Amino acid sequence: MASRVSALAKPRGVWWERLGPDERLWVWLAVIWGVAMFVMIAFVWPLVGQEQNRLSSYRVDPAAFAAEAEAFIARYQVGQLDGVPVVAPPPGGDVYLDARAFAWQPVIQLQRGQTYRFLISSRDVQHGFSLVMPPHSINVQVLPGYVTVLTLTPEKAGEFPLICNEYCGLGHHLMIGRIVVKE
Amino acid sequence: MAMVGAMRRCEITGLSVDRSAERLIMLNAVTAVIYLAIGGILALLIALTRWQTVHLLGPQRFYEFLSTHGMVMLIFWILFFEVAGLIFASTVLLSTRMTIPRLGWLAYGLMLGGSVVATVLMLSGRATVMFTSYPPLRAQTHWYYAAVLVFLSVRSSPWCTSS
Repeated sequence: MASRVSALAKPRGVWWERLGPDERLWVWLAVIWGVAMFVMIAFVWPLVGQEQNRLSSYRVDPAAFAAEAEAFIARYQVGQLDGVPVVAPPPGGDVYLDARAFAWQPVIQLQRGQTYRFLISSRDVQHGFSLVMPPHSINVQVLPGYVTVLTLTPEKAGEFPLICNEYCGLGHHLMIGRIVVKE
Repeated sequence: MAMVGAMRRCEITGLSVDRSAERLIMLNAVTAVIYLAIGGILALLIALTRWQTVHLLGPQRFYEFLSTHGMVMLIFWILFFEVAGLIFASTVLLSTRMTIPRLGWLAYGLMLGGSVVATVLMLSGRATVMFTSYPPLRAQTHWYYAAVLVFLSVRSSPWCTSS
């Protein structure tokens, strides 16, 4: 019965002894580093960094948003690309982006150096707005019934693919939109 | 104690082991490892699809396998092994008996049933929603019942060992 372990028996061993100096040093380093990272993420980077896009969002009726997006497309359409309307919004204006399974509508034509306000929403399920446009790299959720608002200033001319990064159904991998930036 | 199950003494550790706890631990752990193997095979097929020169599966099969892989690797294998560990820690390590072994068997049966139904639904294309399954993306309603069954039976497992 000597080695019997039970919840009722007195525990044997040395687990209650003080930690050794090396172990204490590691514990304190870990605590200090944890606090440092918290301060950097919560207070330093939002103030000095360029990484964070200040997002806002508001509720919307999906049908109302679809109507606004259609009106936006009808008003500023300049062409067509593979059956998708190409829209050139006025510099500094609002851009409606309508996501659905499995397409982004419309193709957006922007001017370099101008700041645009993007109003993004979905018609059906959740989608993900994923855009790599150096120096920007933007990932935001796109939800039905909500408009996600973000501001974007293109700093490079070219054509940038807009990828859905939230699984939205069997055609998810085909859901690629386009943003064209002109000089 | 109304029910006194068969106990044996472990020759190495000297711990008292309840036979019914031992059987349940082994059963849960083996089921977990089988799910791990299924998830691993699916991972291989998924990787061979993402590798563009091979591109093994079409979109339908790919998303079926990806949904199943996620559910199996992040939910089923982990939860079955967790229940095995939980029963081990709350009986063998404390040298105590299981209070209600039948509840342990019931929980295992419900968990196995739920996970098998969920796996079959995902593999047959009726629940290709990924393990995240964000609404309003919808799977067949039975898939949600199956998932809830698994979670409920995991939750009820501790009661079969508490004394």
